Amino acid sequence: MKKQHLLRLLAVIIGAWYCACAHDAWGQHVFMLNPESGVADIRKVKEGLDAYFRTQGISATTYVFANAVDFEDSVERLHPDIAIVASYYAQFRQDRFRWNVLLAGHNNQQKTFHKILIASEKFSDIAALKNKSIATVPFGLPEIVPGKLTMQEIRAVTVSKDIDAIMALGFEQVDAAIVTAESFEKLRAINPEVADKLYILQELPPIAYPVVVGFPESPNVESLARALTTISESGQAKSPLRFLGITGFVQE
Amino acid sequence: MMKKQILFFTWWIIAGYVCIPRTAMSAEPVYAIIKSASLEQMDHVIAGFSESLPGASMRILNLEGRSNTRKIREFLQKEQPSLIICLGMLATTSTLTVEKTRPVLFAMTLDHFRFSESPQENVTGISMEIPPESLFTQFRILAPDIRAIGVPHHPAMPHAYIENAARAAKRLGITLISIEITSPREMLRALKRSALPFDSLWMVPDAKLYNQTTQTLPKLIKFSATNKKPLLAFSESFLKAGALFSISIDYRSLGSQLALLSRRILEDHVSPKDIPPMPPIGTFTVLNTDVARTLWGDGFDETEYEVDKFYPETTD
Repeated sequence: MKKQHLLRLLAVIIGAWYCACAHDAWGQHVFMLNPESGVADIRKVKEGLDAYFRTQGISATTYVFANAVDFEDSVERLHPDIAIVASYYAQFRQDRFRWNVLLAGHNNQQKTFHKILIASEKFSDIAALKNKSIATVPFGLPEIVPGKLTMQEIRAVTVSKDIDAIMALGFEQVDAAIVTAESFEKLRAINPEVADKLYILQELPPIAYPVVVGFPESPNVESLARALTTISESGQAKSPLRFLGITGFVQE
Repeated sequence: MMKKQILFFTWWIIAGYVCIPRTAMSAEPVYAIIKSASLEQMDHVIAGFSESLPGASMRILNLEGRSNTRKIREFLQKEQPSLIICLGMLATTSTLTVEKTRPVLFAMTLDHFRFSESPQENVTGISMEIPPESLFTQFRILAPDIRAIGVPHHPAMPHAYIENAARAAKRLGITLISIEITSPREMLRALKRSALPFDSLWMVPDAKLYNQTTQTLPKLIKFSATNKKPLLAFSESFLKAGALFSISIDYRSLGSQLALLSRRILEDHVSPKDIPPMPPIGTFTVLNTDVARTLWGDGFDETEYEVDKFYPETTD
């Protein structure tokens, strides 16, 4: 009986040792999920972050996910060390993954960004946009205007850049658009004729930039997070930071 | 006797299940997607469509580059779709010969006028032409100083195309300078001797002017580089040759737009004949960083530009 217990214990120890070695041999795993981003240059994003970690003496493999389903399936399979995810997603999945928010993304020290809902003058009420077409870059939040308009209630047309969404609205191909105020002002400066036909129906609540979360079981969380605190737009890190819409991270 | 009756009823139930079209059993519409060939861009369209209509019941037929109306007829008979989406010219022309009633949406089809002006009332779609105003707005965002764009074209190019583009440019305070090139040999001379000055160039999809035999593209690129006039092209493939910027269709977005159009027809019950073909909404922009540095010097900073891709695609 004692022998059986010993064998079992030995098997557990060998198994744990094997897992630890295998994980180490494969390097550390960093996951990325940002529904606000397009997916045009995923390879460059992944290669850029891998290369950045190498400059910090860390062998890490980055996985960039286009959707939450693939992300969550892979968490079970690959046991990542850290993840860089949209802030609202980090909050939404806190109970499931028990992750800790380590760093917050910023864009030139701004920790949040604003989007606006623009429409032509025939829409004066948000409720009138139910079942109407709205052009937007991938918009991760389920509610557009809390309590008034959800993504389920509209017909979203996805584009990769704000300018496409505004032009589509200007040409009356869609009924409204969700864009950043900066993009709208940029268009106004270039093409006032289109911009003047549109107006801001609602300023949407501020959205925090993506955050870095650490998985509780990983022993590598601290070193990876520390490496990310010094990331900047120069060199290899340019693509991953652009993908996240940020210029760096600060301690949360 | 009882056993026979049970067998008889069971047979009828099974037969009924097999024979009833799928659409009749389910309230969910079936979307038939017929594509001309195996093209990555078409897969992007399908991905964009399913992202915008999650859970949509799609059936896909690939014609693999061959017109096969019998195959299409059998496919439509079997799947009984509520709406048909044709990707590519071959898929559209072949489908329209067999389908006269159910709504048909076309996309990725050049010269769409032949369908949109046809008497078939069940057809509409999305054209391949990005509105010139959208092109020039994005070009202006990239290069705010441009005031006059030279556009070399063969005289056979439809005047309406150039005139429409000139009107769009004018709304942005840009003058479009039409430069007719009768013979490809005259390209450089015509650009140099243009009666009106221009500070940038637009390469239009003009098959008579730009093809493998005319060799006009290298001349245009050379002129653009020598005279520091940024060149806007209609496809990413011309960036390798030396164009500064390309604006083409974003195929994933095209799929999303097709989903929107499908909902207008199936949910809002708008007839295709009442929906004129629309231009594509989403664009895919690529900036040549090497050319940008040549034009604008070392001060060029790519982080300032919101484009879909940079060329060349190296990790610094």
